[in-house]
Amino acid sequence: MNFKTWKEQKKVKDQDLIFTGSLKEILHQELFSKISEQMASLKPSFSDGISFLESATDLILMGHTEELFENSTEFSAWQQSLKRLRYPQTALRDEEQKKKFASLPWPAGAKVKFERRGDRSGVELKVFISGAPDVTKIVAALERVEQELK
Amino acid sequence: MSLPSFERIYIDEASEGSDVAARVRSLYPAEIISVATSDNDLLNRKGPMSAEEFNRSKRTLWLTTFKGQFFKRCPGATQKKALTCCNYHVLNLGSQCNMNCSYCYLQSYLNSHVTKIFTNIDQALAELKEMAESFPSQPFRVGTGEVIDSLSLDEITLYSRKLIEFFNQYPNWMLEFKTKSAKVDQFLDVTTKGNTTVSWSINPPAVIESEEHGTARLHERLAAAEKCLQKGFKIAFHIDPMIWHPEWKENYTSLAEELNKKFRAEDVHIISLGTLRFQPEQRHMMRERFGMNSYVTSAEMFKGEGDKLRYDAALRAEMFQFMIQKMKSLNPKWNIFLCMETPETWIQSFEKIPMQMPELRSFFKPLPQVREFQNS
Repeated sequence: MNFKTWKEQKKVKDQDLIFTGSLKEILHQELFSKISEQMASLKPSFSDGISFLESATDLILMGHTEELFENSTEFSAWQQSLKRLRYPQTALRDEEQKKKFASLPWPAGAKVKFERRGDRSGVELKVFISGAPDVTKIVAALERVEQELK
Repeated sequence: MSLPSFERIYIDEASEGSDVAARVRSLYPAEIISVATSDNDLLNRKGPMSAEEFNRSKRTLWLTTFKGQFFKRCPGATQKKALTCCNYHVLNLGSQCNMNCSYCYLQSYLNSHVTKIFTNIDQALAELKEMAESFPSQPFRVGTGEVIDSLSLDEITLYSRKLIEFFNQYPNWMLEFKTKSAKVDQFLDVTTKGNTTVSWSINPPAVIESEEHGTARLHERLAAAEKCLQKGFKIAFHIDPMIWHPEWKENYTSLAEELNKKFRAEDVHIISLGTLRFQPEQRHMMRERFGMNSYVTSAEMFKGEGDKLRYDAALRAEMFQFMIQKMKSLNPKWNIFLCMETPETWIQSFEKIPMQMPELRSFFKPLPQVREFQNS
């Protein structure tokens, strides 16, 4: 699928691509065109595609070139790769945070999923409780987590 | 010091008899001044602006009258559920700014395509008088720098003089000018009863150079603050927005040291801290106007409380803690608070919320609401 078809299928309006107005140099426009064609071939959703193209625009204007195409054969890997380029410090900080959270003494059997929610990163914790003793154990474990986080 | 630069100035018929109109006519060449007509497309235009239109709006001045309510609560106070705000009220005597900061929130806020100065200040003062006489003992803080810099156009309007004199009648009320200019000479001969604070938004020289175009240099702002202090005005500083850049720790350390060298903590009414934040929709205009080689446009921002884009919460807390510790290590008496921040960040930075801090409690104590007053 080419970019024109992707735009038609996803009903993309000019206003959705307002950020491309900043690409004044021909070299930048050509780079954007190459990225958008490759992206369309991977058929992302409307919102993933638009936010991906905005990141790509930022990165083009920041002077990135070849590295923009790393992992470009699979959309989610490519998306992650661009995210790391656009948010390098946050990526590093999240990586450290993830390791730190993984090492904490979570309650046995708890499902711990690290994620970023807007301007905060942390873990989503899922626990199964069948009675008061479970609650006691979980609270005790979480108190140990709290101590380690302090 | 040069006059603010405008390519075109329009004056409404209703504003013609005002002191401001007379002053504008005396300061600017007649060729760029004309009477505003009701069919002027530029003056009538409303709605979002393109980058070019926004740039042009800074170069076109319109003297007009304001027909709405002058006196309002600070926007932060309307998000009390999400943010911890400090009972600041705003008096808008115009809109748009003749300086050009990359992060300026006016880029997503204004819908008028020109710079406006409202010539009916007497009406604004009447509104304030009514409120002040109803609540003379309440410690209202009123700022004039929300949608226009308080002082950068003041040599045209001389509104500072009228406002200082007006507030002298209400000693429990506090007037706050907020500026990035160094224009203070026009009011230094007016006696203050000590309830006018002149405040500067400040940043390290590297940030001013990179992001605060057309503003006074740091040393000029600090020199202006020294002049105000000598004349009995209260002074304050807003280290806001703190902007992350590779040398941020060194540069903000130098800024703290500079403040500490030039001023005694007891002489500085307050230092507020805030980190970079802006509405998501303004990123397109910022990108187009300033490119991506700016500390602001290239910043790593995420949607946070109030739906604004902000730095990662942990980075914000680190920046606040760093600056608070730096200032307090230089002198524990510095009076510091956070602007438009969440209770979580307050706790991370100070280990308490403002109402638990005796030196800040009066700023955050709930006050009667302007709207409640007007509806009563």
